Amino acid sequence: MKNLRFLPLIPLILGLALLQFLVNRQAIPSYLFPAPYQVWEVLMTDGQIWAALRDTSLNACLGFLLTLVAGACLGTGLASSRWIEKMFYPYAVFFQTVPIIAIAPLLVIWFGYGQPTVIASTFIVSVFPMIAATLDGIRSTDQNLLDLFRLYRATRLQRLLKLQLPFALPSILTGARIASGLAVIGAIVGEFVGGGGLGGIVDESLAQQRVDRVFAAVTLAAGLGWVFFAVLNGLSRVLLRNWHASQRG
Amino acid sequence: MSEAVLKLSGIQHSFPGGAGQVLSPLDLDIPTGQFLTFLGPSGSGKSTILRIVAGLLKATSGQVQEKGNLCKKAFVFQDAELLPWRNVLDNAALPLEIQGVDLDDRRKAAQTVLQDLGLGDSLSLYPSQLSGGMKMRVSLARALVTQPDLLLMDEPFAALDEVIRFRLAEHLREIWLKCNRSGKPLTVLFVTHSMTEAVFLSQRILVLSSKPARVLLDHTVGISESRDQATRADPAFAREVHQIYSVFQKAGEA
Amino acid sequence: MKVISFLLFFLQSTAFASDLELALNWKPEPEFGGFYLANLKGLDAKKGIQLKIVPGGAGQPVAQMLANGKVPLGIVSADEVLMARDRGADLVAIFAVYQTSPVGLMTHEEKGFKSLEDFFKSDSTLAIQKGMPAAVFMERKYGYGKVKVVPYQGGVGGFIRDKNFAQQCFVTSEPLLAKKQGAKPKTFLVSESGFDPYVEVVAAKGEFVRKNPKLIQDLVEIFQAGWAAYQEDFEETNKVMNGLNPAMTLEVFNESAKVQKPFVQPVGSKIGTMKLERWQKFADQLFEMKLISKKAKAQEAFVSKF
Repeated sequence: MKNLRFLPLIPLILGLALLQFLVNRQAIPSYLFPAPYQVWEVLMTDGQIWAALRDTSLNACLGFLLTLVAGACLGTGLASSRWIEKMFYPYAVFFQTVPIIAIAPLLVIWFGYGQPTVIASTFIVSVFPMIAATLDGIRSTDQNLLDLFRLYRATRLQRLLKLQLPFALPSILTGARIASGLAVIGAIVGEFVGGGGLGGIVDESLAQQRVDRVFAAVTLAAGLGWVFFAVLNGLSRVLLRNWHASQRG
Repeated sequence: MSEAVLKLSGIQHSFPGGAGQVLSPLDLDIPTGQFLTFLGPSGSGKSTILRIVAGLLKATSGQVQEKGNLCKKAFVFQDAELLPWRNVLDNAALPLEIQGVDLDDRRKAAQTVLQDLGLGDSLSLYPSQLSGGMKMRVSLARALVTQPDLLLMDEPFAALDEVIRFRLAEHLREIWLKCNRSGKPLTVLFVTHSMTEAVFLSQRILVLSSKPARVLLDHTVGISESRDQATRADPAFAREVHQIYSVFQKAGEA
Repeated sequence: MKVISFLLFFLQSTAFASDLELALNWKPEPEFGGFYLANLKGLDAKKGIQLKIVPGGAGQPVAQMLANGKVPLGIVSADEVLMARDRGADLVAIFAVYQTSPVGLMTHEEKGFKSLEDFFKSDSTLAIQKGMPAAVFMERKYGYGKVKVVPYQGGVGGFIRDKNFAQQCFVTSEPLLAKKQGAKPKTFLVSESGFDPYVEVVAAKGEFVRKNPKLIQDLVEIFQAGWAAYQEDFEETNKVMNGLNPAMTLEVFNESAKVQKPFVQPVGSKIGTMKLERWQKFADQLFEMKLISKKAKAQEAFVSKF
């Protein structure tokens, strides 16, 4: 059973082998689709791309942290009353629907080049799932437990900290997992306009028709997203280990 | 019997939005330390009475008077309703925590109650590691930890296996008797649709009709206060159950 | 309804089956004036060719589209041709619009820079397409020093807002727009520092060029005639292009067409012809800058026997 976790590697290896074979046989021209080996070579020899990964990771992390904190706070704020939810939720949806590509150039005007724009883009793209998940989690708090807290005359703050937020935790963590993938996308888009990082490498490499380098950067970006996801998965497992019998041991 | 801890006058209730009246006007005096059971078919408004008494629901009309307005209440739901992120000890200590009792004091109090309920070895387990019966014991411990004057129980054993129900019912009676003997009387309002459970547990049974609930019979249970598992085999016990059953039959509920 | 629309589509596609698409890498502007004029005046139709000009935009990967056979003809720059060839795509240039590269840097006059060298000693913000050969060349020659390099977004908005801002430009285009909005731009041509590629060439796949010598000959003649006429009289064509690209006023169209005249006009040869020495020098520079992996034989990258 344990070996099942390696199963996803099989399609990966087969796919890469097939791609390498097709490029070698010149069935696919390498200027349209690079051979896996070319990409590998770039990853092994290009120091810039790793420095870019470091920058992107840092900015995506900072933007994502902002999303976690602000998303949870905004979600909690919305959950505090039906009135507030009705009044402001439509504007929270704005973050979900805003075409980031279209407003990205404006971010540069608002926040300036470099890090601030990248963080802002990361935040805008990733914050909505966090808000919605927090709101849903708090809203779904068990009515009997709410009654119990009422019976013992708990304050609003006690109710929030001791009941509603912990109760919303599984939902919040699911939101955070979705947000983590979006955060990497947001960072890359931000770097397209703000400069630097893997987004900058992609921009530069496209101008030089370096498809291999584009793919190397994209591979690292995807890897970064995967790491974000895996870390949050691990974190969920640790935080929720007592919740479900299935996740014990 | 001593003076009334609770006095219900003309309580009635209708839910808004067409669900109609669930409670006909109800007048009731409940003496301190009484074990009173509301027995009736499902959906007869028994739970509504409990929630009104608990102050979780406002009656459409009528009023609830408490002795001195200082009555300490506790509520036990049909499901244990434990917090899955807390272990047994901290679940039981929750009401004290809300009331601002120190960590050490509240844990000590919770531990005492849990030990009485036979959970002394399970303090650090989490709800996901407990059986249904154990969860309900923790829930009961959480209710008792504040040393309430009034314990409201809404079909607490309905979801459990019958063997465990029997055992828990016996345990509940022991606790109730112990409280009353120690001079800190515990009044219990218990809701169930099980006639045997009602007879086994109660001093007094209010037999309710189906919606809107009205009192078909205000019955004082005639068997001895010292009850144990043998009580259920006693012919007197069977007679009590039969008497209630025939009330339901006459009212066309059965 | 579906059947009718399908039939219409079918008829349309057969009617234009003989269309020859020319993909631009930017919106209709005077830099493409001669092509539009040839099409407008029917110079192509006279040779039995129906040109169809397809405007592009930022990031249009024309070189890849050519290599992948998505369009037969496209406007690219000489470095794109050489880089594509280096990556194994057989692209060949057949016509060059500019004899001298109009690529430059636009700075604010108030900053008082005297040369590119001077500029690169400043702490300006420079918006430039990273990785573009001209950018790599300048970085190697001058070093960025304290200059803060940021992505190039197109347009002149950033330039107008910030006196410390400089950006890449076609001296035939952006400076005119900046002036219109009240700025005082001062430009420096990158060609003056020794990097002067053919920045706007018509290219096609080598196979297509070799198989259709007559067609290529005709095309080059059409382009030459179109551009010669545009140099003489651009106003009518500009009106049409302005209709397709209203973001730029007709006034700027006409000014731009005037400014670009000397860049288009060759000395001692026909419009659009290219010289081997320049191609070879440029190819060697690219190799030196490591933008291509092997030395290129420049004579294979273009045809210019006309």
